[in-house]
Amino acid sequence: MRDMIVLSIAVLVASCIVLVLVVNMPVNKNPSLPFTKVYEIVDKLNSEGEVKLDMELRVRKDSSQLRLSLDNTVLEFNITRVVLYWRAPSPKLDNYTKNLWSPWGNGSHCGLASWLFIEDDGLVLRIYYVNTTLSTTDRISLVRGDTIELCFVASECRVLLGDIEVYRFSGYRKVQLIELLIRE
Amino acid sequence: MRIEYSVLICFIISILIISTPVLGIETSTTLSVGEVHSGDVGTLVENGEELSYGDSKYVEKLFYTSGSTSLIFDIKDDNYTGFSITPKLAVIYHIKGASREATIRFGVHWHSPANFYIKATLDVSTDGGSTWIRPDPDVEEGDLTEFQSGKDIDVPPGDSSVSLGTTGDTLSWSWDRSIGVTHVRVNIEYYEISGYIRAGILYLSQHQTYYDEISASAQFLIVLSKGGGGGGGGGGEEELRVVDVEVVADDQGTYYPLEGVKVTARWGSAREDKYTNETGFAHFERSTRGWLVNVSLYSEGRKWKDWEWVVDDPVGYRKEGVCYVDFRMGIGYAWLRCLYMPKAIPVLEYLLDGTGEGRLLSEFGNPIEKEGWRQVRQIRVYSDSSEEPIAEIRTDEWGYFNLSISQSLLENSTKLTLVFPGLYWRSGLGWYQDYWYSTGSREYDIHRLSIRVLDMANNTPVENYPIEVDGRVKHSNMNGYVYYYTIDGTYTVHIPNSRGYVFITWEDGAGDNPRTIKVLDDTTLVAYVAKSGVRKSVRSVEWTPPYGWFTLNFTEKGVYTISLASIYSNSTHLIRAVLLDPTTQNITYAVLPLKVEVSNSTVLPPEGIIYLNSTERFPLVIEGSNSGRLLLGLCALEPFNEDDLSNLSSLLIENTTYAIFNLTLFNLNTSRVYTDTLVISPIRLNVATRYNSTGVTIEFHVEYSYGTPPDSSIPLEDVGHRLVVSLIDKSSRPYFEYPLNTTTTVYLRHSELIELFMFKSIELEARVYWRGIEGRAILIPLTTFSKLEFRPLGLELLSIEGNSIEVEVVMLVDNVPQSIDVEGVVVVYVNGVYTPCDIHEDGNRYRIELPPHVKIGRGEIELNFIPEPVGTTIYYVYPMKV
Repeated sequence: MRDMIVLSIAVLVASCIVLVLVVNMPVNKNPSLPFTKVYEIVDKLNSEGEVKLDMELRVRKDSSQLRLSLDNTVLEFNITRVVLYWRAPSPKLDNYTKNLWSPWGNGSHCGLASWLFIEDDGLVLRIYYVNTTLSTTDRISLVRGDTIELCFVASECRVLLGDIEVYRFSGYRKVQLIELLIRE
Repeated sequence: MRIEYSVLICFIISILIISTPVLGIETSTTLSVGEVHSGDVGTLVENGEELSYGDSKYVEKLFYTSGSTSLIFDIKDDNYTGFSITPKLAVIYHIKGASREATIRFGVHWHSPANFYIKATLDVSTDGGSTWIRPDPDVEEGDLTEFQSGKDIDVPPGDSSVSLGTTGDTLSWSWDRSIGVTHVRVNIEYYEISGYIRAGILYLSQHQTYYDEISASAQFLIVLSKGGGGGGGGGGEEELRVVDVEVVADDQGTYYPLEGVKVTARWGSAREDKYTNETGFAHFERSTRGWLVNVSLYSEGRKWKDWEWVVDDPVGYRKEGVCYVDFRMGIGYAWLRCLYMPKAIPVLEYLLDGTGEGRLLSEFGNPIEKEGWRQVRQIRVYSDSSEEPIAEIRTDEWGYFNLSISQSLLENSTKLTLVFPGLYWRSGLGWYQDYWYSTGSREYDIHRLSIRVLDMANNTPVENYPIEVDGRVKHSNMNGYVYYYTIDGTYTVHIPNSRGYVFITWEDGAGDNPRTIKVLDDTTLVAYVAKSGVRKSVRSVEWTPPYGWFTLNFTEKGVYTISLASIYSNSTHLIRAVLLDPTTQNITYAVLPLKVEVSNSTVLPPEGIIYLNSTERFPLVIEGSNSGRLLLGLCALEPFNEDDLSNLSSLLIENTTYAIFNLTLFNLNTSRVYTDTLVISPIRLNVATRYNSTGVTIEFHVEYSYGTPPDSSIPLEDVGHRLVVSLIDKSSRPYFEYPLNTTTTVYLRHSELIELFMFKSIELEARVYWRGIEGRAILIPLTTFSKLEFRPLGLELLSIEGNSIEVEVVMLVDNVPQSIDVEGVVVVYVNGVYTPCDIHEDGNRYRIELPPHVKIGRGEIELNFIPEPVGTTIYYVYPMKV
């Protein structure tokens, strides 16, 4: 019986210790970054390319497929999308805005999601996407990673991310698929 | 076998043979007057046989006509049993106050394996065909005389050819004009004819008359029967009847077409005038049967070739013009030919100082002698300084003649005219007029050939120097001249050595002595002679493009005369001496000859470019208005005178050597003569291309456009001038510029061209420039421009299936893919390494089977299209990577 009591006390003490640790986590220190902050961060990232935050954002990496669709054939490329988020009430958002970063929200969390950014000077078509190895970050800054380069003539070529058409061209292009990594 | 059986078999065979139906030929004894059933009897074709004209019996009269018609009736595939021709032929001569005799011969030829019977009869009409008279040999009808009727002819079987006309079965008669026969009708009957029959009618008439009209005309009423054009005798719609009138000159059986003779056709009250074309024909078409064709030989001041039609003159007196008219006629067409008797022309073949020779020829160039009719004829010679003949000469019986008149008669004349007056010589009779050939004449220009002899050392005339032309020696006067009188022709001039002088050169640089020249106008030749001891040295041929330099090579010092003679040129004074004023540094030009002093042996321009600071090396002009200036060199035209460039376009004619000169340098100190040949020729730029996987090689090659001038053969040399080839756009902006030797090769990478042109189709002109004097040259375009078109190409990605890629070659003007037909090949590189692949070509499409280990979509596979070179199109190719 005495053993059972000692064991119960030990479990109770351990639970208290765990509870204290959990209560003292940093998130809990800044729990209230509002959803409206998302737009501010997205605008700054799309215009200046980097941003420093006061809080640590969670990082999620999703696999996606980029397709170059021609009349009779499709070229497929595996790329990534990155979502940086935190807990906050938000509307559901995940729309392509022709920018690299767009606001993101799922109701309980909000943040920003990477899409594709496309530059076309008539000869070179550059398609940028974001990749990362991080799980959290409080600073978003991009560095150039791998690049795949193709050149060809197409009577019409559609650039698709999933099922969303993000660009279309015809004629000759040097197509560069450029990976951007979030600096560690 | 028993004989009974043999007989029985033969009997059976005989029965079989006898019972076989024989192909029957229907016969008829009915003569269907007034119709020709050409369609029914087979094909009616023209008989090419021609009857002869111009026999001697015609010669005595002024105007002769003859006519013939000849038909072939091919009935070998036809069962038609008979035909007739009526009125087959009607000949009407409206001649006033004249009488005539005429003969009509009718001949029939046939080739038949069968028996037949033929009968030919002949009728005449005096009232235009309303009533017909069949003359009977036993009955005198009016004034008809010497009549033989048509007769029945029975040709025995097996005869393959019988000619009525040649076996004495001739229908012929004559009548006095008072009878006024207007029509002749020939009727033919025949039976059981298979094969074909050929019928011919010859009409001959001769008459002597004095016309009271200006024109001599022959009129033919041509009555075309039914069934024209083989359409049958069923009386269907009228078809076009064709009449061709040919007017030719007959020169001993060779016909020469006469253009511009007026021909009038009349039918009813309508008429149509036409003039014969260059082949001598006037063509009429009408759907009427009756024709009246009037070949009106009106002169109206017209001239054909170099003679004048004379038959149309009033003929109240005898004229030399003679005209024959003959005709041929078929169903649906008629052909008439009018013949003209040519003139006889005295052709003077050679003349020098009044002595010459020639021959009397027809105006068409044929000898006028005719076997059996060789006669001596008279030729009269006139000069423009006298109205009376200055000579009367006679030909031999072949027409050849010699001329010998005093030279003094030619000295004041510019023309000499030889006339054949139509006079013939017959012993015992003397000169008499005759008309085998018309009278004719020819005028000759008298040229003065002047030859002058100059002493080369001091350019002064040499008096009393002997000069030979065709062996005729004359001596120069105090001005160094002798004069000869010629007509157009070739003469040989010789300057012999005399009185210590030797011939050096002609003024134009030619060195041949004796020298053959063609004299076509008043001509002057200047021969340079010099005291013995002069040595000649013929050196090189030099070429230059317009505005380029010639090299002047003074191999030894001394005083030189520099002279120039054009031997082939469209212009004189093309070559200038370029002079420099050492004080003002101004450049001027001078025309040769020049006298210069050379202090040291030198070559101009030194090393091909003149550096003006090295003036001490240039020869000094020591005589004339340019004395004191320095000779920089010789140039084709004036390269520093921009106004002079206006002639450029006319000089840059492709394939034409523009001018050739002989240059003579005479060193007065050493008596050595140097001669060079200078050639001015445009240069031609050729552009060739070839491709590899990364770019295009353009090869520029220049050469002289050498069209060989007459009577010269000059070795061609490379273009040795310092040139520049430039590719410029429409706004004269240069894209590329390269130094150009004879051949220059340029490699342009596709990537360079992509960067430069960016999907544009650009047309650039390739020009070649010459730089004159260093630092002071103007750029002179030396070529007509070659245009190079740069066009973008790319490979369109059509499909990917497994490791197979299909692409199509497309043009990418403005980056819009467009189909284009370009030959070429596709090559594959994997990770930069050439990789052979199976490639299937289908027009502009290529299917490439990549190796299995290759992965598509990483950009590791590079496809390059290598076009085949095409003319002046240069492709720049966008690469493909997948």
